[in-house]
Amino acid sequence: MNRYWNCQLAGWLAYSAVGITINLLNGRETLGPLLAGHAVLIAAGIVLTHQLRRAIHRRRVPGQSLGALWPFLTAQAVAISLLLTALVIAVNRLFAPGSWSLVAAAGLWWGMLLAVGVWVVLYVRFADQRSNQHREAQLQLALREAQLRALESQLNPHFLFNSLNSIRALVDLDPARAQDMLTRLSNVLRHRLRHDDAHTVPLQTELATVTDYLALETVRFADRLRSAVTVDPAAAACPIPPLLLQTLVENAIKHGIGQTRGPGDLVIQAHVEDAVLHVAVENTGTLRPAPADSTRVGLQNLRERLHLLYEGRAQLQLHEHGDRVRATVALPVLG
Amino acid sequence: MKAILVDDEPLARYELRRLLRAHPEVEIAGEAEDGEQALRLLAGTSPDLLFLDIQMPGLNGFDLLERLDGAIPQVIFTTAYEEHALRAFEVNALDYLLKPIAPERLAAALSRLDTRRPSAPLSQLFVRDGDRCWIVPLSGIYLLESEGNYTRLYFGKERPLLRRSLNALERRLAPQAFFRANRRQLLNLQWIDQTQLTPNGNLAVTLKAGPRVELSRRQSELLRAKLSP
Repeated sequence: MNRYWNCQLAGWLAYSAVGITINLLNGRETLGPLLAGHAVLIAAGIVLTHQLRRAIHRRRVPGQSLGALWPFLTAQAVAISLLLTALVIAVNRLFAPGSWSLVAAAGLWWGMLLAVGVWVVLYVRFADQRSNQHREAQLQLALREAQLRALESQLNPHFLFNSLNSIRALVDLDPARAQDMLTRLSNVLRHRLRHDDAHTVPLQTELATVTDYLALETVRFADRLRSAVTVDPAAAACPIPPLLLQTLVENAIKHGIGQTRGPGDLVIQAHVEDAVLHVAVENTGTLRPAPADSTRVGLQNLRERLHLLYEGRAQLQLHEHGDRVRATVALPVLG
Repeated sequence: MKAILVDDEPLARYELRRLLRAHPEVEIAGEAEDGEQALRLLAGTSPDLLFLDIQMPGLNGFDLLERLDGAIPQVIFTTAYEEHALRAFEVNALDYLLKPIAPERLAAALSRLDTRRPSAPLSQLFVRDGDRCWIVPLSGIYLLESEGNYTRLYFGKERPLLRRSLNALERRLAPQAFFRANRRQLLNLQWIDQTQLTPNGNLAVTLKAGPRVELSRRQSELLRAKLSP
């Protein structure tokens, strides 16, 4: 903010200084009227370009370069430079009445247009740079938050301790299965604890962890959880935001299977169609209002990350049909 | 001591059964995998002790206790993580065991149980108001007040609102202990401190905990009859 005002002031002062110097060297004007004219010019220049800045921010599309507004910016630059020209001529005529030749006025306007044009180009560059930095920071923040949530939701509550409890029962009932479950639990925890700033992972990488996770939940829920996975080979190689599938599957277990009496299904599907990756997680259950203890952070955070990563070209939807809830994600296949 | 195990995970029930083998005084009268099953089982077996998981499909552990209308046995919660939810208990805190359950913790919880207590139905009430829960002995409740379809309960310093009508509660409460003072209020006879005559000839009762309750004409007659030898 302060940098903006400093630049505004410094830019217009420098522009005026050049103008004053040229005029004085040519010996065309006396100092008094010249300074008065330029004071008005600086003030009007700052006010008008500041108005332009506000107009730009009203029109800007999040995630898009301001360069996309170029027809608007050009028209504004022309209008502002014309206004400034008229203003300077008017001030001049207060001191030295007389008409201006068209050539002189055009020369003055040309100078103004140059000034406002430079202003617009510089402003667009800086603003874009800033919004890119901002976007990157937001993306990092959302990812960290997702990692933290995931860490919390996996390391702490239900899943971990109930799994450990099931495994303790299996040690007695079926030692070989207990060993297998401990390996899978280790895999899930390791995936969770991995500190990785990558914005995407291949779907198959995430699917491997999700498979281990489902095996553990199957031990807990026994015949209440029937799961099926259908993933096309083309889809398996596609990059997805980390923990996307995991979040959807966890939601399906927590709000669907966990709340359903008797057997329930969980189906994971993924395929690529027209350069769009479609991932769907369907489960037995209903879309009920979130219980008091749920903050719905999982899905909300996922939506936010998709928005930041794909800038509106990714979709996440929840549908209910019959006794099923289906979460679908559509991602553009990049590259 | 007859006990019932309620948990939606078969292996969790298996673990509890295994741990209870070390406590032959606890006889497992049945198992349920959700709240509805547990309700049926409780009606059929009237156990002394309930091992209760909190998170279950359909009726969860708290919902189940609410449905029991006061006829609740002694309860030990078994939970993987909801300690925070259990901390909400303010009065007569129940015991809870964290899964996987440590054998010593189970032994300690069992030793704390009131083994002398006969399995008397209707001796305590599970009360939930928002995030707070209580298990209140009926003898501690001195006044129940109707608020629309809900009922405000008075015990200790607490005034939770119960999502049940006063009429429904009155039917459940032992008639020898509670008395309907008027359309809006039900009072505990054991808590009566003084009775006075009001200018219009009705009775007014001051409870030991402080509140004064005015009786309707009809109920004044009834109380007089009840109190006179």
